[in-house]
Amino acid sequence: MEKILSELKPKESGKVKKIYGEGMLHKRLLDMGIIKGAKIEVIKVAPLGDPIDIKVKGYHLSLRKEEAAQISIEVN
Amino acid sequence: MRNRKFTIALAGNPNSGKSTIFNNLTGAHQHVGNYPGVTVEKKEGKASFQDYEINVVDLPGTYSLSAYSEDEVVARDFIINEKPDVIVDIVDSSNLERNLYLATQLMELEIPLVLAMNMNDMAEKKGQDVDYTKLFDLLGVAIVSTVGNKNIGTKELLETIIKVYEEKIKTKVVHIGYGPEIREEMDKLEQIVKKDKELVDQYPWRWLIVKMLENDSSVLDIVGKSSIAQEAIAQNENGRRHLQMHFGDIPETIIADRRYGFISGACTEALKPSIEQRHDLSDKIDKVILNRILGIPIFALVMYAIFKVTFIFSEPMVGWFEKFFEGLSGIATTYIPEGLFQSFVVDGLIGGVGGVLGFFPLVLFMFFAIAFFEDTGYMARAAFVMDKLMSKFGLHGKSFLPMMISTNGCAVPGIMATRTLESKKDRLITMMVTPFMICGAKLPIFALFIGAFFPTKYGANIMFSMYVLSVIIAFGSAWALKKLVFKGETAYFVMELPPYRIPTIKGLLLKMWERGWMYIRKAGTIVILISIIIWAGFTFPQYSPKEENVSEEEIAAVQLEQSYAGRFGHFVEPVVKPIGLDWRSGIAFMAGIAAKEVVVSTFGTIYSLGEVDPEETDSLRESMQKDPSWDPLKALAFLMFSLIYLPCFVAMAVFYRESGSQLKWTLFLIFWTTVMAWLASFAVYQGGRILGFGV
Repeated sequence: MEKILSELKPKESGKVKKIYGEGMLHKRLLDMGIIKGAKIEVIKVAPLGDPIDIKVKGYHLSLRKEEAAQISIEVN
Repeated sequence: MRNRKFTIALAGNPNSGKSTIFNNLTGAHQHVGNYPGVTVEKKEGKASFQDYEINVVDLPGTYSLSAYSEDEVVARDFIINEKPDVIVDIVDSSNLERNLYLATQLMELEIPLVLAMNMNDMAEKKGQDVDYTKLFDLLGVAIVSTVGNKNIGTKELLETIIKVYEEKIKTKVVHIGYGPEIREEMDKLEQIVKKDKELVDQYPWRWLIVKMLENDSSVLDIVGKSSIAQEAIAQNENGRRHLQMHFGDIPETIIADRRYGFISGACTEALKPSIEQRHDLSDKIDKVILNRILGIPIFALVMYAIFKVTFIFSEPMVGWFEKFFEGLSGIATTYIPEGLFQSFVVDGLIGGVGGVLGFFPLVLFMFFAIAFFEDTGYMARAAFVMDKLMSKFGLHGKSFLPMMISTNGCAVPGIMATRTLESKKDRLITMMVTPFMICGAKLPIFALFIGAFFPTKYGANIMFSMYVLSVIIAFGSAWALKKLVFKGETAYFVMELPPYRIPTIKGLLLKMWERGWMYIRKAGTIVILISIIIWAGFTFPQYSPKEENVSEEEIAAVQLEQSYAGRFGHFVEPVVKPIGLDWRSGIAFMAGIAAKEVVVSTFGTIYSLGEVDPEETDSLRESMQKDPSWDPLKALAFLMFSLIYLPCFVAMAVFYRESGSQLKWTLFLIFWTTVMAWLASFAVYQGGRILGFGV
């Protein structure tokens, strides 16, 4: 099932299907290892509800829901 | 015996333990400068090993070598332009894949490369076992295993660096399998680019064409200035369009994809599979630290602890420093004959510099505490916890660190630290509000006034509320800027949460000293100079009474009033009168624009010149307490103004440069801070009087 990363709840995981948008943010996400097919697990949400903490390539990355909305995930 | 010199550059991801390796390699032989033209700090050091003297340059920590952040551009330009003899890439072994991504880009620069597989012990704990011979075969670069915080592998690393340097071991050109489609476009570009001999002599051609396909703005600039510009740019645009059609995605994506693919391949082969621990210690700690309910209270607690601990521990030492300078004044008074020169040494030099250095222990303790939370990994969590709130005010979770460095530290490195913010809007807003924090130079002002006019038991709490107030003012300003100036501009937040680590004492001390040194350097140069000018301003023109029976007290008072400084103070008095202050504060504020420390030393000069009995070397705090023209409300109004008004001259100069040398932002900053400072002090003083405080 395809979902947007920002809609995933903690402990849900899946594989990156597509990254939308262009430019700086897109490039930064790629550099950080968010590439097509990369496994992503949502670990937790910050106390104030944003940003989120995800695990990708074995490390923790945090991004705002706004950025996570650019990433579509094939949920396991 | 030969003594050969060469240069190496340390590259690596943030949090890869790069600075620890740097410290291990260079010991205490370090020196912090700037890269030409930009203000990114350039840390250099020397490593002497066998017969070699190795110049070690610590590049800024980066995840990639794209041209998106200032740090990356600096790291890249250094490698491309200065051509170090060897690059050492510090790799966090416990986070291998993402760390090797930078390595794949360094490999394309055709400079001998050594990989330092750092924190190998952590990786092993995680259940990871790397086959180095295999990884060497796959990547074609020399590999050394190190544990930076235990100083393991430093010797081997140096031996390998020398070996690679001596044998000129070219990084075996391992072609990253970009795939036939990209390969084809690369071939076409290669043929064009190689026509310009000069261009490919200066830059590695493979790197040029890959970066062109990645649409890298600065490489496109370089190529755009070459003789083959038109042809190359046209071909590149064609090629990019073609790739986009073929893959249904922009070429950057495909190239990043292939790099990670290459790494994945190498890792699968070289990593002996073992059980992956799903939740390591770091995850467990985060369960508490980032907990929905506990996260924010813990953040508040950490901040409070930093301040409380700093003040408690530094108090006796601040006392010793005060005593030391008092003693020094006493000695100078005894041995130097009375007169102008004695006054110059005692009041100008010792009084001025002592006022600043007296608070040095406090500044050092604070830097130590910040370094501790930075190196453990908590500061990234603080950014994570605070981002939602910060972004509401137009700031970024990471804006937190520049503000924190400025708090008790210095706005100069604080403003420089905004370079980690990638969007212009985030950077500018953070730079504008960073100077509102109570920096190490403002700290003596607060410590002096609170110590003099408020009971000791409330000291820490009043100080803490001043910090809270500075944060409120900074946030309020950020919010106003977001609404008024940067309407509709967006920015993003993508930040690593590094694993928690136990910092090394050496690393903490070096970091503390590095930032503390900046404070001292200011005291040693600008503050001495300004102290002398101010002393002269108070001393001249000299007043000699005509009548015989004038008391010394009266002479001192008249001298103060009719001196150049006194006249100037009277000139600005109408401005500070409504906020409860007199001409002396006017002088102090003006002097403080040169450097905030000078505010304290100006009072030092005022009160030591006004002293009647030279034997009675009161500390400044005591002298001010005895002065009937002060009361706690006036002290508060004074503090309010000091808190908000103009940043010091050095900070403004750095701000100007960092804001892209745009005068309008600097002028805006000056106007904004001055008006706000006056209004806030006015509200405090007049409001306080209406409520019946003060005299």
